[in-house]
Amino acid sequence: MSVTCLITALPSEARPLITHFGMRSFAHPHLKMHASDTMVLLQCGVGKLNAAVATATMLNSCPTVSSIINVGIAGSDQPLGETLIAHHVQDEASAQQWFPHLPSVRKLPKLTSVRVLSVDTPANDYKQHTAFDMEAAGIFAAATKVLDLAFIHSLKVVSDNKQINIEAITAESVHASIQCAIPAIEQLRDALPFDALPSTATTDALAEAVQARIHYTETEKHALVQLLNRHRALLKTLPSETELVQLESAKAIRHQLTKTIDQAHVEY
Amino acid sequence: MDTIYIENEVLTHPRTIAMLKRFPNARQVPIERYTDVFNAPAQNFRIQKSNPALILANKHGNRVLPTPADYHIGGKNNYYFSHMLNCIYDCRYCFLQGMYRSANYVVFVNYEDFFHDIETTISTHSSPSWYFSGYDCDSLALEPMTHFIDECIDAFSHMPNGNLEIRTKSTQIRNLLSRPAIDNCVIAYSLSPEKIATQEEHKTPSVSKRIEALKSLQAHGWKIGLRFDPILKADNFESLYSELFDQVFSHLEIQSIHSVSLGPFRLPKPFFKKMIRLYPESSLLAANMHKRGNMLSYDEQSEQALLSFCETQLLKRIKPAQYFPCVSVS
Repeated sequence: MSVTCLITALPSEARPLITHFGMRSFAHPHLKMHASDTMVLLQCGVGKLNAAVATATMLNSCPTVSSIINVGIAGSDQPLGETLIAHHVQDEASAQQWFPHLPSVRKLPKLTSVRVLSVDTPANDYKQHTAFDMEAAGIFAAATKVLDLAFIHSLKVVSDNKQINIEAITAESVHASIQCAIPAIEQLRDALPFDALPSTATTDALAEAVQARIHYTETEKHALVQLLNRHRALLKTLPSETELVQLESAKAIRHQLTKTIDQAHVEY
Repeated sequence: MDTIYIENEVLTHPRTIAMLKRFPNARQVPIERYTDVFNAPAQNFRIQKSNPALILANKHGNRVLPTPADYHIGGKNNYYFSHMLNCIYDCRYCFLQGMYRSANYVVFVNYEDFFHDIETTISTHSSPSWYFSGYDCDSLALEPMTHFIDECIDAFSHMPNGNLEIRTKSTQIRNLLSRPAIDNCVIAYSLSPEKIATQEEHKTPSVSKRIEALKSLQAHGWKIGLRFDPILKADNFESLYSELFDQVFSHLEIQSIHSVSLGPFRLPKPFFKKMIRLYPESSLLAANMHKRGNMLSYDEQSEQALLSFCETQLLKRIKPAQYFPCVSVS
């Protein structure tokens, strides 16, 4: 099952999302997390270091998380309350950068894309086509170790600009801003390209079932998945679990699968 | 095209401006170097293939490179150049899937630098040398947008000591038919049996459309080439390839075909490993492969059977002088 993780920095950013998506508190020894059936929310704290550490810990604890959407407020030259999506995330201090692979414009209408510059302290020199935040770079640094750039995104709601300065931000205004972003979060989640990934669920399930009953080394596990994928590709079917398990050893299963694959007919 | 990355260096280049005009709704993202996006880690070629972005860039150096040893059509000095990286087609056997991290299209807009480097390379040889386009991309597929080949032919018309091969599967030949053919250019089509093309060469024009394009080009006076590369293994390969050769040669004027080449399916091992991870359901990639040096290919016996059958069939139809195998066939 594909689980999307929303990552916010502040409790006031998290609250409207927890309410809207019907999440409940999720007991984790080190992280502030909430969860529903298809989503989790991580409140990572302020700053890129907190963001990176919390993201890495979350990905380690929740292996079913297959996409991340960072949601938060940001300063920008864009109108107040506008939701923006990052086409470029950059850490101001190190200049390290990421380019999320965005879904098509058609799937995200009316969502302006900008560069998100992660700064170490709040900034107010509102540059063109740029939003300032303090977490996105940390989240991307950690998440790209595990996930593909098509599944890590950052949505920012403009909380301050040249007209309304940073001191005017309150918990209430943050809450209201994040509520404005909810339709964009839903659109983005629906637009994530899970359908472009290969479907390996049946092969993986069979491999796991066999490995639960027969001893496999890590190398053999990898070889089994490869052989099952080749079997399915060439013969358009998979052997049954019973058929494999009765061979009683990883080696015997490997020999049998190899023999079947060698004899497969390929016609166009 | 939904997202276009543009190197700051080419933001105001006339070709950049012209290409951007074609995609008024695309997000425009300024970047420093195309490699920042194209070579970044954590990208998935298969996912990007479903919605590729365009990257407009300047190619600095290494614009004209020597071809691999077997990549030639009779010339002694052979080079390739790529005004574009990646291809709009999605052929399951294509090495680009294994070579690049990204499926985004890179278009280098500094065409004049390519032509200058080709001219310089030509001048280093006393005899005519060959220049192959379509190694890291399809030469013609994005021609309506780039107009590169049009300008390239203009350049080669002033470089008689250089021979140009334009390799393609595209039927975008309107510009080629609206100008006179030049003597030092071969338009070469990659061809596979129709049933293989349907299953493995996604988003490409049908083989019959490619043959129609070849026929039109030949009638217009262009030298044409046929590239049967890669030859793919199947239990029914004899009937598949016999039908293909019948189909191709019954439509073309055989004597005036410039060159016919034949190549086995082969891939560098790291590319192959990456490709089976991307496409675990592909029967083409699930076939038994054998390691020879750094390359993976069919076992030698199968490969020779495939190539020798095709060679025999081809040499029944064409003269040996027209034939250029990419490996030795025993």
